[in-house]
Amino acid sequence: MKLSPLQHVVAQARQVVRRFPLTLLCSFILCAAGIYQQRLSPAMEQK
Amino acid sequence: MSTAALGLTLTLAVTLAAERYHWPLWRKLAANAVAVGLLSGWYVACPAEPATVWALRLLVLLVVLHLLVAVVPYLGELRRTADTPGFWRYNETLFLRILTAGLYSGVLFAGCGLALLTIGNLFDIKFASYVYAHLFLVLGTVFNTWFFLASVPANVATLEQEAPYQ
Repeated sequence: MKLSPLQHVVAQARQVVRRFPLTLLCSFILCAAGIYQQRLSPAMEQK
Repeated sequence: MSTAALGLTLTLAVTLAAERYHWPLWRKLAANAVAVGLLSGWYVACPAEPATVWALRLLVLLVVLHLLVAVVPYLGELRRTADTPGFWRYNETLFLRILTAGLYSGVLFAGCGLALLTIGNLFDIKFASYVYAHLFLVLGTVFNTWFFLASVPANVATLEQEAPYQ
């Protein structure tokens, strides 16, 4: 299997950032909220 | 969290509509502002401890927004024959890519998880139990979305050309 060169991958990632900035922002927020909730759960259990 | 989940599909649908119908910049910005306003409204209105009614509302909205992404570039065709080859090819592309994204995220999670496990055993490093959960979340949200968005067709008109299914 031939892998894409790194420059091609970076160019595609950059294109996604340019085309869908709000959608990507939402995915980052979703990730951060999920991590926050995961961190919160053990803290709540310890209390 | 539910606001961000709704925002994923809503902002994608708005962007696709703006690209497909060649909206001017002011209209694009206005549509994005309306989308952000609606999401803010959901964030304010949704209770911290959601009841079943709110969970059902969220579920229905998520289904509707996913379907909106599938049809938004072809809403204008509804007055004519919506059943164009491009519509089916567009949905085929999205469906195959979402499956590929799921597979890649899963394989990447398995690989990174095994790497962490190996490092932990070899160098006697104790990783916190939530590291794997965080890794799963990062790959499932950020990587999965990024990978999927990379292949959303930019020029829907080219999909209309007659070509055999691969």
